Amino acid sequence: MIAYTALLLFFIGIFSSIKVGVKVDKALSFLTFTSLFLVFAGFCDGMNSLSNHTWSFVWDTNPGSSLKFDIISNHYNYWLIFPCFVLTMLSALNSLFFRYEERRSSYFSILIFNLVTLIVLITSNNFVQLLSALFVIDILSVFMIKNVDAYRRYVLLNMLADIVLFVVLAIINCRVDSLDIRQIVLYRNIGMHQDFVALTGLTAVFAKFGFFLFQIGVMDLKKIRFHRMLNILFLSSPLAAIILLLKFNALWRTSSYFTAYLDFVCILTLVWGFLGSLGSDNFKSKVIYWQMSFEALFVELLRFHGFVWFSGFTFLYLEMFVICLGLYLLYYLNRRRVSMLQIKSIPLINKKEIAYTLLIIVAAIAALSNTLTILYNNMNRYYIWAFAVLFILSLSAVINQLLLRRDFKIISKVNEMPVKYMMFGELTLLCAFLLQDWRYAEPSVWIGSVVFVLLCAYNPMAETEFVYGIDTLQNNDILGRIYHILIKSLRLCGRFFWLLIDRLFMEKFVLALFISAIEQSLRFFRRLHNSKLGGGFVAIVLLIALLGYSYYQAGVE
Amino acid sequence: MTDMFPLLLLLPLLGCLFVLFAKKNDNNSFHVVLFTLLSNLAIIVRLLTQIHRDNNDLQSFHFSYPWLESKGIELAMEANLFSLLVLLGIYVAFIIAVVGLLPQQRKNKSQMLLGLYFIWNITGLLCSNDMVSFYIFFAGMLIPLFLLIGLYGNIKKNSTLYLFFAFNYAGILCLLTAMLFVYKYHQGNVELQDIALIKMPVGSAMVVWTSVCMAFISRIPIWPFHYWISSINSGLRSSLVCVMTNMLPLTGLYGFLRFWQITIPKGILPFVPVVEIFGIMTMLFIALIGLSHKDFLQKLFSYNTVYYLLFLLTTIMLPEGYIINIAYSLITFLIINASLTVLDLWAENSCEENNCDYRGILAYMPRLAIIFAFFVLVAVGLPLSAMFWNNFVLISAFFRVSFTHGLLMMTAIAIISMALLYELFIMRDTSNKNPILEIEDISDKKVTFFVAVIIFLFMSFFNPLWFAF
Repeated sequence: MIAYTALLLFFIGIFSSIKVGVKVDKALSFLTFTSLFLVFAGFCDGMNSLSNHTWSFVWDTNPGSSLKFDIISNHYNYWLIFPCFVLTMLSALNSLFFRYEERRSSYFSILIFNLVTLIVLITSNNFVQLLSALFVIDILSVFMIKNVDAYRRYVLLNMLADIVLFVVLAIINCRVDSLDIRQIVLYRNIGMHQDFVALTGLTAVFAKFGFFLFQIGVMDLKKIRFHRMLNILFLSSPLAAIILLLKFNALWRTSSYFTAYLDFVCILTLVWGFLGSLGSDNFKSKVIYWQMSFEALFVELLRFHGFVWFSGFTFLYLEMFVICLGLYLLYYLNRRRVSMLQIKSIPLINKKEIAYTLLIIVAAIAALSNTLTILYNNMNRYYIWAFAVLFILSLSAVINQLLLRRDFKIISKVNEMPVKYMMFGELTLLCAFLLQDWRYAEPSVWIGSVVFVLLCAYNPMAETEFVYGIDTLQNNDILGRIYHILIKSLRLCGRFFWLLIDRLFMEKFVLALFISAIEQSLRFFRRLHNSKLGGGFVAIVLLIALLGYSYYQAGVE
Repeated sequence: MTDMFPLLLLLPLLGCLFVLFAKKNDNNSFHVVLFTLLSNLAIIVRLLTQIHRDNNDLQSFHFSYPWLESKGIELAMEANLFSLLVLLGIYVAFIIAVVGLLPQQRKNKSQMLLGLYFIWNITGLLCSNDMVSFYIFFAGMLIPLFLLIGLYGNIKKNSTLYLFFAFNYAGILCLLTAMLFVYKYHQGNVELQDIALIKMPVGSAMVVWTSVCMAFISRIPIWPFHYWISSINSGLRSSLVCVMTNMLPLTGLYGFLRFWQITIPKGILPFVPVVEIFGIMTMLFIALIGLSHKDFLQKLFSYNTVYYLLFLLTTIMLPEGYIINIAYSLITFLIINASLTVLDLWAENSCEENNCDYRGILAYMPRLAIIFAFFVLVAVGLPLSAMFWNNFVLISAFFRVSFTHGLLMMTAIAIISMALLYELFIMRDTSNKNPILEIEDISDKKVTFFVAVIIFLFMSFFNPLWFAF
């Protein structure tokens, strides 16, 4: 049962978050990973079961409405959770072999809690549980990023997206009068402002993906460590966005503009990702751009398959992660330098490493191509071809620049690759290959892989390298500036209101008028008292007027 | 167990007496106040456990005191689930405020005395069930507030202070006018739920209900009356006084809840949309001002205003069935408000003591940073407290009533949430961190205290009354 897995993971997470010394940390992290692996084995065993189980407890019982926390175990949810589990395992394994983290066990605990939250998100059946899981993923991403500069815009954008989703779900709840996600189908018949609700919700999902126009958050991730960046890109908000797309597909379809809007944003993201991956001098940015293009393709593929998840999508997601791990190896081999210009001038790589890294990437590319052919149907061929061509072109260009430049002086016996790295690479390769059914692989897969290797050797995009040196292009943050202007204009608006209404109207006009009225009345009564203005006469007239008014009012009553 | 209810009102008065005779420049008065607050909190929790939660009728505790029998005035007190829940929030907020006082402020006897007197009044207000006692407590709480603001308010412009007093005084006079009219037609004191049943001419009814509304609006920072309250708030540097002024709109809100829920008088029905529009416009306006301000307390004031107006509009626009959701949300809101005020004042105090920049202060104080971040995240509306789910219910109900109103309200809430988050990032900014500078973080005792508050809030996410049932 998934609930049992989640509970076990939760306890492992708590166990792993215990603060210990550096020496004990190594043992604790190893123990955590072993436990994680055992739970994974149990989870895989449960995958074969076709029966449905629901584990639930009453969360809150307000008068008139009760809220349940459900974890539903079924075959579909198992397949959705599977990639999350594998990715978490691979990330943990990564950290176990490489000394990425000072405190590995606490890092593992974040990964595990993130996995538990993803399980809660996937198995949720009501809006409140779903929203709660979304918010928790955002909070955990803050711990994962661990850098104020990097998470400021990312968190703000994600929180804003969460608030928008909160509004959308509140509107749906008010119409269908149910917190059950499955009741969204009813919204199609009785819903109000359907276009607005669907498109606003979809925009929030795009913001969580970090698609075109919303990429400022994910682009800031280049400031953090590579492995943490990968975890955010594959296990945090973008993955949550995929789950949202799947869960609310009935909602998106209520708008007739849905397909057009989705296509528009995905195509723009694909193109932007390709241009970014070619033009950016920062290696981490390139990886973010590739991931962005991949997500766009992924969303389109999901649409063409009716937003129904199956094993093909699981493999596709995992293969992209493996490619990114291969790229991470490149980054590691280049002494963690991010600037392509810098990498070019300091070649310190030996032949064995080149061959090894290339092998991993080419194998992963072959696996990816194989999965794409499985997901291929006549409706989505243009997307797949566009993505494949653009991705292979940009990736081969970068690999060429990094590894196979003719002006590189290949130095042997430098930066010798330790056995554990090899072991790690083999494990990732194993993952990529074991999941494939190569018997039915089409010739295009092998041809594609050979073309990729050839492109790596003879980079046709070599002419584009000049953009690395254009500072204005590299340091340009147009979107960031647009957002800054937007927020600034809102702040100016607030300042303007404050000045106009509080200062000018209230303080300088109303307040001044009030004070002046009090002063004038005081002066008037003082003058009456001092017998100026014929004080006695005026007082008597006022008194008679008051008496007259009282007499009139009494008569009326 | 009903016998415990009068103690709720008696203990703060006894506490005032003890504080009056306590030593000067000592912590005695502080301890008395803390003990009184904790005792009353225990009584509230005990009373809450007596009320069966599944019973939808608002079960209540009563007692009455014959005051001026010849004039037909008998004071009636009542505590139901709603008032007890709000009282719970108020007491926890006050405990946080008292704990948050700086060492030199704790020795200030007059501040302690006036603070406790204010608490007695607000407890009385929430328990009063008749017109006269409601008026007494409604007016009475202004005395300590005026004195405290005058003494420790650090108000730069006297005119603002006078106007704040004048404005609130006008509110009291409005309620007095309404009370005199009611007394005239009923020939005696009347329970709050019976006011609507008194037969009076249309003109008089209009005067009564308009006066009542004006009296309560004078306490809520709705445009154009927000100005005086915000001006007063900006100068306060004592956590107790800050929390007290932030409670002021609660009294207006509670007044609306008690009067409005019974019946909406026909005479003032045409004005309801005006209040709604003014309320929503104020929410947007104040949220934008909050975004533009650089002072955290100003942002917090904007946040308070936006949420008080949300609760006010909930009272006016939604049916009675949502009253418990308002109560659950209010408890969290009051606690967050007090906690953030205290934490910000501590941070500001550390800045002053170490002569450093406010920007990035939390980078030097990791423990304070974590606690501060938690409360900001709860304030923003994350699923860390009862506020999340109850706000979802309330907002959803708003959309049912009016789509546009709901959307505008959520825009205001989103803007003010972003303002708070942005301020949190500024306070955690490490770009200008001075590696040599060392600032003392908050003590273990304070951390323990706030961890308890955090647990209290987090548990309320699963069950708002986890401690009582």
